[in-house]
Amino acid sequence: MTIWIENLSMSYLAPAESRNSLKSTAVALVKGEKLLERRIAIQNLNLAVSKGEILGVVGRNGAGKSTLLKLIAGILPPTSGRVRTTGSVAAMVELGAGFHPELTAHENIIVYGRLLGREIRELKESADEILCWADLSERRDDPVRTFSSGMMARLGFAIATDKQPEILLVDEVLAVGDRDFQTRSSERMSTMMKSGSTVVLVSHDLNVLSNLCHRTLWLDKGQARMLGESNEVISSYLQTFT
Amino acid sequence: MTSLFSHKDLVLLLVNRELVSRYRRSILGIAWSLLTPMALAGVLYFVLSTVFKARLPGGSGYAAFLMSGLILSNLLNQGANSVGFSYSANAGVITKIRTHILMFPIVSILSSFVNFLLGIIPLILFLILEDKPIKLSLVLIPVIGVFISILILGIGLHISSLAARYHDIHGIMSVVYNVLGYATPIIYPLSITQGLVREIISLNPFTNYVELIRACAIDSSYMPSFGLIAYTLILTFIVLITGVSRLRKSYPAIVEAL
Repeated sequence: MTIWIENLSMSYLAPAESRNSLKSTAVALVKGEKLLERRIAIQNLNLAVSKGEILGVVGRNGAGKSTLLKLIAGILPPTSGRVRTTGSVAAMVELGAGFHPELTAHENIIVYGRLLGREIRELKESADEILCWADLSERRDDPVRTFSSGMMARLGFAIATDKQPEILLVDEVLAVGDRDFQTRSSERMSTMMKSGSTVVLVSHDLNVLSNLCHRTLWLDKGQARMLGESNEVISSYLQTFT
Repeated sequence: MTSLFSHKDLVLLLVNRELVSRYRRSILGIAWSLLTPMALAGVLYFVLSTVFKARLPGGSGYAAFLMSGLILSNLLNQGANSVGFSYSANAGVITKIRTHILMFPIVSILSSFVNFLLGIIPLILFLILEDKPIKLSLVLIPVIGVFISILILGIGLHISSLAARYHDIHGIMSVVYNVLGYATPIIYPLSITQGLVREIISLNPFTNYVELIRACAIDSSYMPSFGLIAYTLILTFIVLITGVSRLRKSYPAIVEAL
């Protein structure tokens, strides 16, 4: 097993009724209203994903899909239960969002790559290759603030996929960039999937899920509503819309 | 904490990023770190000593006195703000990549601390201009700066936790920092205060830190009592420890609110 999730729950205290200023809290305090409420993002989830498997995740907005990816990536600590992963994890969500606008493309490769857990020395060696794949070799020393959003997405994707991770977490990522980039990025993704990376793919594009995923998990209000063969899960999921 | 120490090259890389990017678009570059506090000291010096004819009890030396207070208030303003905003400023990384929970607050306070160190240079300059002796105890100022930074980090962590719940906290805090600044003897000497006011101001930990800086830079008569130093150090660590434990509890809410 590469991902092993046992009785996983995640909840946190947030202001009741989205009350998010001190002023409105003070008013509520005077009126004696409840100030905080517990929001449940994931409730009692059990899941095991084996090596090389491609798992799809569907669910409505706010069902806990992105929270699940954050828990697998270790970005959020679970409230109770356990998440165990083996090997390196790469999360690919809104690529390039972590770039620093004043730094150059080359400097950002080092910082972003180091944040992803790579060695600085190793990054310096592969920086030119990353720039080349992103088609940005000529912009090596330009600050990233002068880049278009498509260029940033290209650079982010190139850094995140430069070295094959054992677990790849994907959150609606392929809908960026021009047609050429989309073709090349999906090629790179499928090479990774074929060569043994475990993938968890969150998408609203049900065609992508049924084509790529071996199994699909349907999340509903933080709970696993259904887990099984992709086409079966997707057709039951679709029935709730009619 | 141990895992953060093993990522010290990443922390240094990020501190460097903060410092480089802050000055990249200006011709003067890092020199701004020296010029801003000096310009502020110059303006305050002119207004207070020429317009209001303020004199320190016992004679001259107001410029170095002022500068030694300003390096603390700069650290407070810059450090508390950047720690308080460190999660929202790095939302793109924190919500996507696994990072140590304290990494960005520590990066923020370290880059403010570097500016504090640079502020010692104009302080020495003013000491020379006023014909004061350059005391060996100046080398202790960075050590005091470390403790001040720990206190500010603790305050900033409390603010970060609260900011996930209350979006208006930063506006309120800028008023609080202002009040705190005036309740610290930066532009005035502690010796002009009396009675209850003096007791209240002495309980402000920043008062004792600024007096310690002056004891090292200007005259040992500024040295606070042993009791006050012990109180300040204990308070510093209480603020840090409670800040970290509150942060651990509210971290999921912080990430989900970004």
